[in-house]
Amino acid sequence: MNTVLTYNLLALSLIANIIIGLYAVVAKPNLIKKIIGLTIVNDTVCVLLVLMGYRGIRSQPPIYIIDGTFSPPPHTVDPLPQAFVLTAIVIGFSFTVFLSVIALRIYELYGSLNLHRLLVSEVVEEVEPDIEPLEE
Amino acid sequence: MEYIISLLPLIPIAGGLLVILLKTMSIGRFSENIVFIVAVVLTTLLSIYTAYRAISSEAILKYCFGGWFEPVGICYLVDSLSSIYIAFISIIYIAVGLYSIWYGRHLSNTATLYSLLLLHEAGLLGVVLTWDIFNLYVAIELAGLTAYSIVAYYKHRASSLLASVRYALAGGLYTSLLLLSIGLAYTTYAGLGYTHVYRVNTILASNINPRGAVYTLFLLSMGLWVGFLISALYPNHFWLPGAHSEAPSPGSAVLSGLTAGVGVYIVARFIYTLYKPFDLTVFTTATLVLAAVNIFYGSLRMAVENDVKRILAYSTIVNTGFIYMGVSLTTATGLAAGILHTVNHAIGKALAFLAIGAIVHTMRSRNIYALEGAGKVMPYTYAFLLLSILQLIGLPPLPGFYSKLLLYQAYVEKGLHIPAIIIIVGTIASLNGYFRLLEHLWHQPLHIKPGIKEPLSIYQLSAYILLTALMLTLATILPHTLHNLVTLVDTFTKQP
Repeated sequence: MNTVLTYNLLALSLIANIIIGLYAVVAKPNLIKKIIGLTIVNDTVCVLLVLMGYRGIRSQPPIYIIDGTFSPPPHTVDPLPQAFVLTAIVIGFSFTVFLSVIALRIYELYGSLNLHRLLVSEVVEEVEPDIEPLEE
Repeated sequence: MEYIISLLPLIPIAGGLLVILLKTMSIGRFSENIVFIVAVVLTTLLSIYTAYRAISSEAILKYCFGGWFEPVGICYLVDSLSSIYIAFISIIYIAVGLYSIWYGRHLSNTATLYSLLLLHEAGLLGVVLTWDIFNLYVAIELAGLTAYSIVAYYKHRASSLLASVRYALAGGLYTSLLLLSIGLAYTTYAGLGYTHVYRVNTILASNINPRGAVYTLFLLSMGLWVGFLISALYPNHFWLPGAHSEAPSPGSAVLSGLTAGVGVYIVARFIYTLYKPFDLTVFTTATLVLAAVNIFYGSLRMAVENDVKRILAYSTIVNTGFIYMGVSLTTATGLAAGILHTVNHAIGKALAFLAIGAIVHTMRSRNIYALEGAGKVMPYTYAFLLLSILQLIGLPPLPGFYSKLLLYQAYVEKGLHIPAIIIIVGTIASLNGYFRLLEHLWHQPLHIKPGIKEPLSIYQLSAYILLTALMLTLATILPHTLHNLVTLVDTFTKQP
């Protein structure tokens, strides 16, 4: 199969994936589904970045001057997007852990993860805040 | 000596990890306090030294990690804008640090708060110092994750968890898209150092190719959008009142005073450094409109809110509007006004949150009706709160006045009279909320239980006095140095 066609198909499907993830974060009320959506977006972005490092199509490795002459190695992959992705994966992992812990705490307190309803109920509280002691 | 720049984010990171280590060894709170304060003070000394060197020698200080030259390696760079930022961030952190020692006496888990505050400082300094877009993303994530954790610090309180989730979901989504835009832009720029991006942009501005244009535009809009989220410009303001009111008070002071300012820094970098070759009139006009919306929306909500910390949080939204009015003007006077207002707002808002934090902590309530008369019970704290609010309003002897004056002057210079009127009307509109807070706190004591004493710890007082001294120093020197400030910022806008 044509390489360019494969590349474009892959890129298109990844973009569709990002849109699905965005939809999940914005529209799904369940916090766990939101976290899953966020993970989908983040991981798809990572795959897209790795794909961009594929040298056959577009980008070039940034270091190509060897002994003062321009000599790009024939079959290399741009290493910089891979370094980006490594960092982004770690950040995404810490993000998922943080949100999961918060989701667990919210479930323990409310017995529900329907974030849209919880946030609306917070708005109702906002109008008439009760005088409650700060627990410290 | 340039390696000192690289130490600035590293010292808070090391301090933050050391605090957690001491906590697991359970040596005691004293050692945690010592490590925390030493890390904060050391960072401050080094940043003031660096800022002084950069400003006095009028040169750009640069440190590249591992000796890799710029388009390939990661560099830290200090110019006139970032030297102002590192100086005021670290000085305000000393006040917040001293206050946290008093505040931490009443918490069971002080080490976590110290560690989060230190790591947040590292993130903020990283955003300010970095000279590389990908590193900017990493620093934003570090500052962001610690900010969400500070908001969720009271993890048994449901409202703080919800505020944190709201902030974290928006932040996570936007930064993921920022990463996507960085990745796409990398195919056009083939390098992400600021100077490199600027150079490619100068080429792109003259002969634009369609694919490059789309990616460039995407990176610009995502950068501005993330900056708007961090500093809560209008459509992205939704997380701020909840987050800033639910965080512990030292955390609120940092988030409100410094993090919002760093969001402005990101936007200023994108407009004034990276994308200077392009004509950004559409973006700056949109920013101006959103800033005006911010001022009036914040003023209106401030006047009806019943939670004292929420009132101060909406005041942050108002002041962010003023700051963005300056930054969106793309002249040196406008940017100088925006930066000066960021500094003034940071000092005033940190003092306001620290003072109101002491009141809320003593009275055990955040409701403005339950706090009636709290000012009479705690007169010294109330005096500092009054001073900070006068600073936020911008009453003439205080430095808050000079930034608004400069902002007004910048608009009049450019012949834009409607925004100039908006500045005055917006200030008047915000008075209602501020005076409502002050007036309720100075009522006859209605709900105050007898026997409540004003806590006046030496740490707390030294934090207030440090911020007040900073305010008075600025009030003394600003009338003579306003012109120098504009010149300083002007040199920044001229360099790439």
